[in-house]
Amino acid sequence: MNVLQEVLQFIINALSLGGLYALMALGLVIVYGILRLVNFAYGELVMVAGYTLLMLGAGPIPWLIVAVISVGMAVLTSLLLERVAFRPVRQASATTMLITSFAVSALLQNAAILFVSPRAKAVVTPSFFTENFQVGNLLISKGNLASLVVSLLLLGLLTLFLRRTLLGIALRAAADDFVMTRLVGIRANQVIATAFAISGFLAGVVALFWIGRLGSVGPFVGSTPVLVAFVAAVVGGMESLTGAVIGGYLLGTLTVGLQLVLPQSLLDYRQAFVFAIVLLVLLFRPQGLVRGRAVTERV
Amino acid sequence: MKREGRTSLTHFLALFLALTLMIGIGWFHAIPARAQTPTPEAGQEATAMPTERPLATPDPNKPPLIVGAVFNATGWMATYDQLPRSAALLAIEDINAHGGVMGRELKLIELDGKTDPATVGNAARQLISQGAEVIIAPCDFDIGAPASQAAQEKGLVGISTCATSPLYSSKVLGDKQFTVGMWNNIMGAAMAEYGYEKLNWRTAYIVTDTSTDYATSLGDYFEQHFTGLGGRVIGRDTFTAGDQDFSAQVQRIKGLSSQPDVLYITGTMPDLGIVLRQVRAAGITIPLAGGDTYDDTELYKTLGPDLANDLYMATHSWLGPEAGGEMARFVQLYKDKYGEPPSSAFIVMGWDVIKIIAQAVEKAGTTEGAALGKAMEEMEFDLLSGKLKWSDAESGHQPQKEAAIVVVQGGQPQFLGWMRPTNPPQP
Repeated sequence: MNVLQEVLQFIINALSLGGLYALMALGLVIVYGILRLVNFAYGELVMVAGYTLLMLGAGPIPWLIVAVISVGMAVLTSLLLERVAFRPVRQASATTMLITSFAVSALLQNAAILFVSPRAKAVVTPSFFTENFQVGNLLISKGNLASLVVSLLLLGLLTLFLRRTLLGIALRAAADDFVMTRLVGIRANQVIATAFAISGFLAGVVALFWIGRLGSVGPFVGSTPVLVAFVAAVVGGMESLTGAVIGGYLLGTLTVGLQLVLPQSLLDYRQAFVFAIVLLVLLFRPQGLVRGRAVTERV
Repeated sequence: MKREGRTSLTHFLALFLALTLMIGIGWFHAIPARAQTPTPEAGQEATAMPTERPLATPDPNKPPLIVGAVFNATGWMATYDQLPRSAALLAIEDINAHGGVMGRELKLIELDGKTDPATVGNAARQLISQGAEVIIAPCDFDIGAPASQAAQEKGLVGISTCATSPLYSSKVLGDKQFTVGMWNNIMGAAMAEYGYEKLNWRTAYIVTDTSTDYATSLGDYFEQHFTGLGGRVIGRDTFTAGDQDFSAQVQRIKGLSSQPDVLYITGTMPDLGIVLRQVRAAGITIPLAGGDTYDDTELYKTLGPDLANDLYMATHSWLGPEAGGEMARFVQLYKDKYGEPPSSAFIVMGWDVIKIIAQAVEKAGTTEGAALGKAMEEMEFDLLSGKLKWSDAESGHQPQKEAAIVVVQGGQPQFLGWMRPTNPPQP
């Protein structure tokens, strides 16, 4: 493999992983923007979608339909959590909501351990995820390419939704100043439910590709996505949707890049390098790479 | 929200970032670390009671012989303990149906260790205070050792069902402690020797999971034995359980100037399945090899029938009639009791542990720790997991065992044979 191919391969890998990370971060930030809630149960939405794939995947239903149902389940679960767990504590402090999200996360994980299995189960995925095609000497994974394209597409659609539709504009307004948004007649419950629905939708889509990569689903399958989403969101700026996307791509690039450039003896410490860089960024830009409007206005 | 509120929120976030990082990193390491060491299973022949032994009932006037077992029912170790447990119950029924041990009825008392070393140790102490005369320890060094330590304190024999760490040794745990699992040096060497001799592997590339001693040391033992035989290791790489993206490792393998004859990849589920899947998905078709953690139907399914080809493993047992000995009878008994065939070679380790206890107590004529331990050192056992002879206490009670060599083709495992490596590296 020559250098050019290595570089191209790296770019594809980085963009594909970064795209997934960006979607994860976005799902977290869209709720945080409105409720100031870091929803740590977000990873369990990925898990729910994953278990749906597991249960229906082996049956006679075509995979695409199973995929749609799985994303639907993630959305439903997200809405349900909002209604049952988070709405009652919405007026409480940010800490209360944070703890609630941890509780929900633990509850769902343990439910999976009890009712499914403590072990990871193999999921039937379309062969598509493990196939490649050749471009010159470059072998490109169809799964990676698909996650790259789908994440870009979704980011585009989401941007349109947030800028062009009333609900989208209300969402952004609520993120900037929730009280004012309500004063002009936007219904709080509707805006918040929309945010949770989008968050669940993103988690569901992420789950399709994430589990397509892994080939298995277990009770802790969501722990990496939620951690990555959180770190990406913090680096990018918790107040900004653009920031979350930038943070996601940055983290994906760092993860893949460091694995390639670090010498063998330092590879074990790759995570440490990733987080050291993250800390450096935060040192110079404590609010993250992109500052949200709310923050800048108030300073 | 007011500005002060936001500042304190930022502090919270910082705190939680730190916490989450710790949890996250700890998690990634912890989960695989545990899952890894437990090794599985068993194999081959028969055992203790010859089949023709007549049915009999234990003598009701003699007190029961109480075996205390810490089988984790919760936590990640549950899988690795509940599988052997099902066969241990079966073995106890089988022995009692044939008159018990020295005419005494075999009785099992158990407690959940909750996959927590401290709880495991306390559970063992409680079982001993309830009259347990022999202790069965969980299938892993980190989790199982406290049970063995408790048994050693009270002068009792403790046996782990399937720990494979060379640390599960009488040098570490005391002269009355044993494990039925082969150590990693045998497991690594058996694969190296089988591959070199039978499959003509001459070059290897090794990838190990750094988060567990099981995976790292298995890679080391494979390398030592393979190079000792004349093979060449053209490179080594590592991954960390929990990373879930292994594209860089895969890219490095594809970038090798010449492809090796075999990729020896160690790790534990679920990460192991993810690595192998990504390797195969990248179009790398050379044989993959590893240890007992490959012996898991979930792993083949993770790859799918199209990609689960040329997977070689050195494991504890083979659940088919090819294994010989008492395996066929065991599989039938298991089907009769549970309505399905045994699903994993880990299962037979529970049968083997009980049969070892029964045979050794018969020979020693007592459950007193020193005498029983001595008898176990002197005996040779013919088990579902192969023939077993322990070295003496001074040399660590190293299990002298054969490994079952299994290959997976098209998602289906096939038994290749038993392998006892010559002069395996010493731990």
